[in-house]
Amino acid sequence: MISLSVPGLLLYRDIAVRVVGAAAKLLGPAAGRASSPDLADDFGSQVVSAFGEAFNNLAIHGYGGSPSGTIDIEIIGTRDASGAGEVVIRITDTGQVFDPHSHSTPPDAEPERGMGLFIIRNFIDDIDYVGGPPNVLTLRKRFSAPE
Amino acid sequence: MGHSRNDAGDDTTLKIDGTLDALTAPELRPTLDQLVSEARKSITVDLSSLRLIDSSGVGALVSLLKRARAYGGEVRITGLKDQPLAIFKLLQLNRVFPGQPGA
Repeated sequence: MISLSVPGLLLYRDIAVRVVGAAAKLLGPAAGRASSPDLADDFGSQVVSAFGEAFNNLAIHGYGGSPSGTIDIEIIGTRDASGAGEVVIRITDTGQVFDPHSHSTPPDAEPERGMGLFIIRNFIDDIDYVGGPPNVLTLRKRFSAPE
Repeated sequence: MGHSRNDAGDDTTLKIDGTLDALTAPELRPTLDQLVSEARKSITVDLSSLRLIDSSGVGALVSLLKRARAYGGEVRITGLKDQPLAIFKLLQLNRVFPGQPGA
C-alpha cells in the first residue's frame, strides 16, 4: 500500500496528484508491461484526472479553503494470475459531507463548471462514499489482462 | 504553471505549460482577461507543454472561447496530448474548439 497525508488545501493538490500518478504507474497495467504504453498512459491519465477532481471537491467544498483538516490517501493495487487487476484509491477527510452520487447533472456542451463529478464517474469503475466523520471516498479502477 | 504570449498581427499565441488546475487557473485569468479586453481576433492556445489539466483549467479556456466569440474572435487549441487530451476527449471539447481532430 502507498499512503500519503496532506493538508486539505489546493496548495497540496499537485503533490497528491503526482503521488497518485506514480502509484497508478507502479500498480496499474504498466507494471511489467513495457509493450503497452498507450494502455498504461490512458489508465494513468484517467486515474489522475478522477483523483484530481475528487481532491478539488474536498479542498474547495469539504474544507472550504480553510486549513482545518487533512486528506489521507491510500492506494492499493491487486492483480490476479492472468495479469488483470485493479487500483483502489481510498480518500479520507473530515470536512463537510460531499456525496458524489448526489450530483448527477452532466455538464453542458460548453462547460465552465460542473465537470468534476462527470470526470470521476466516467474514468472510474466503482465509486463508494461513506459520509462520516470521517468521510471515506473509494475509487476503484480495473484493468484487463494483457492480450 | 507558466505561460507566454506572442502577438503577430491579429494572431495571438498563448502557450501554457505545466499544470492548469484549480490552484493555478486563477493565475492565468488576468492574461485571459487582457486578451478579451484587447478583443484579439485570432487566439491559438498551445498546450503542447501542458502536463495536466482539470475541470477548473477547462473552465478557464471555455470561458475565454465564449468571451472571444462574443466579439467575433476565435480560439483554437493545439498540441493536446496525454492527460489533457483524455479530458478534452471525454468532455467532447473537439466540438467546441475549432481545429480539433474530429471537429
